[in-house]
Amino acid sequence: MTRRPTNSLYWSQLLLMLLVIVGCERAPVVTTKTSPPRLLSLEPLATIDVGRFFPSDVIDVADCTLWLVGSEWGRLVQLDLPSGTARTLGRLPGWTRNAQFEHGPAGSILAWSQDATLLAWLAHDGSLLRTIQPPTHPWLGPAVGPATVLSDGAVAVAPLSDRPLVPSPRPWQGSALLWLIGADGTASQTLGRVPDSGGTYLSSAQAGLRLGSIGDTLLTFWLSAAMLDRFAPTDAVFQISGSTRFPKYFEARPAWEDVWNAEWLLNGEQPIVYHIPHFHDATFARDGRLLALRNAGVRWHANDSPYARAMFALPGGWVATSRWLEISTYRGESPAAYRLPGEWASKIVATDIGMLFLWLRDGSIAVVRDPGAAPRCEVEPEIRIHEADAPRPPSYLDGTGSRDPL
Amino acid sequence: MRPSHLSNFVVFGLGLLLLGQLWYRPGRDETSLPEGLYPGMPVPELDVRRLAGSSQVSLGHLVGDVTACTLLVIVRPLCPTCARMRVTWPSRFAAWADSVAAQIQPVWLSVGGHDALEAFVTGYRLQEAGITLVSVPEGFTSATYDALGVLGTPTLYLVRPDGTVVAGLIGDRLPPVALAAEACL
Repeated sequence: MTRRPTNSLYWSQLLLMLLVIVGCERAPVVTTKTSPPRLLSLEPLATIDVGRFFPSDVIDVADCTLWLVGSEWGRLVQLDLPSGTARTLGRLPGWTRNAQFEHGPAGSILAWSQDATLLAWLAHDGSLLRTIQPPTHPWLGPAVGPATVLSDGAVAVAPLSDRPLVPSPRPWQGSALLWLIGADGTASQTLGRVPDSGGTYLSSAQAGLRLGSIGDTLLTFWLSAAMLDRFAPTDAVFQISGSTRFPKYFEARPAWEDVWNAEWLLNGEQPIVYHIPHFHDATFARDGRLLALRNAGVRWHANDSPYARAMFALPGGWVATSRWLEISTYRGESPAAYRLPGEWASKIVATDIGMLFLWLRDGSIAVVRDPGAAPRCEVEPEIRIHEADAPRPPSYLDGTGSRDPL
Repeated sequence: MRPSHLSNFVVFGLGLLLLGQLWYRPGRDETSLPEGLYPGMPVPELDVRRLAGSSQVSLGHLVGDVTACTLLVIVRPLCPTCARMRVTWPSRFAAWADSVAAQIQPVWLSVGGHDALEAFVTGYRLQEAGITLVSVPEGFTSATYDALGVLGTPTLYLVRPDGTVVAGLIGDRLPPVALAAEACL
């Protein structure tokens, strides 16, 4: 039997139909665009078992001495690295949850928290020097976000960053992304624009920023856009002086949102923003280097819960399957990629003592050698924090109970 | 049937499937959603078992036959937020209750069974912190989820001494102090 040309036409149509049907399935598509770089190794120095302390940040306050701050109650613990001993200094004055630190001039430390409405300058003994009241945000009210200190003592704040459930601005509300607050505490300038992505919640999901500075240049790194911007002052006004776009290793469906309302609950509106940034976290070292945790592999995790299916049109979410660390100059030059301990970290902190701190999946913190600097002190390889993060350490948090990984 | 007819049939069928996919937008099935506990509704009469002493008690009796308000927190042993709350919640609740300045009894109800609850809290001294721990002996069924309006954990309800709901919340949050003070003082 001779093969008729119409048969091949039918089979082509069949294949096309199958492809279209697959395309109509609900799982968002992820495509890989660039082959991964060669990963270098990080040299492990120590592991910190945080016990029940759950620090939200760590900062080097002197050679070989760190502060860790409890994420729930803002309790400050001072850790001596060579001996591995920790002691409680007290609580951060004025607020509690998720405090973060930045180095300031003359050994001072800037503390901020998204759960607070003030920033605070602290002395190196932990005492409060003064507070900074940021400008009232047009749709968030008093709001604080990632901050950095410039060479003249001015502070840059990104109040929208890492607030995925904050409604997007309305056209009449303005859309400034960054504020500059002068050393005298008065707001001097706004910078950037919140991306207009439509929807009710989408904009702020893409406004994830990390801030840093070198000299009088302000550095901003967009986690979702994989973009490094540099702002330099011209006649006392900051203007963008350069940008570097980092390569992207995957392309996922653009961010979208799904909002459902449980009317019987006070916080009944249940919005979900489906978005996976190219970088999960980043930090700038004081020499301007950018250290960024890249979401290297991502996949869509479908949620088959009947309630999730009933509430949301597309139940599930993005999951990062692997990460690596990228280090580059403040211009985005000379990038190098490093394999993370356990191929994973959720937060990175750079220090001036030649060590990087990585929050691992099991709740511990890995201390690794900074590839760009030699460690400035010895460190005990196994450190255990016995302190508890509580307003007053009560008896039931005395550390005698068992602890399983969260 | 000749191959070309078979192909015709298959392509026609797939075409119908494609049209169906395009017409049907998969998603919400409103009928399967629970109706939760609206303000003013009584907490349902569920049989729960206390971890301490393993005695059986009605949930309505536990929260509605008392002189104080109740903060009923529904937790799931495998939920990461709930796991962390074992450490952070008691002190935060105590500070919140101080702000409310009213007597409020905290009750944690686990969606897992009795054994799962016991494993979940062992070593965390929650009972010493004044929290009453209870579970539905065999674990939650879909009817239990529906009755309590649990779409995710933790879900909590502030309950008046007469057993009626003041307000519900989802997530690791506490009700507004002013609301609790008005209902419980």
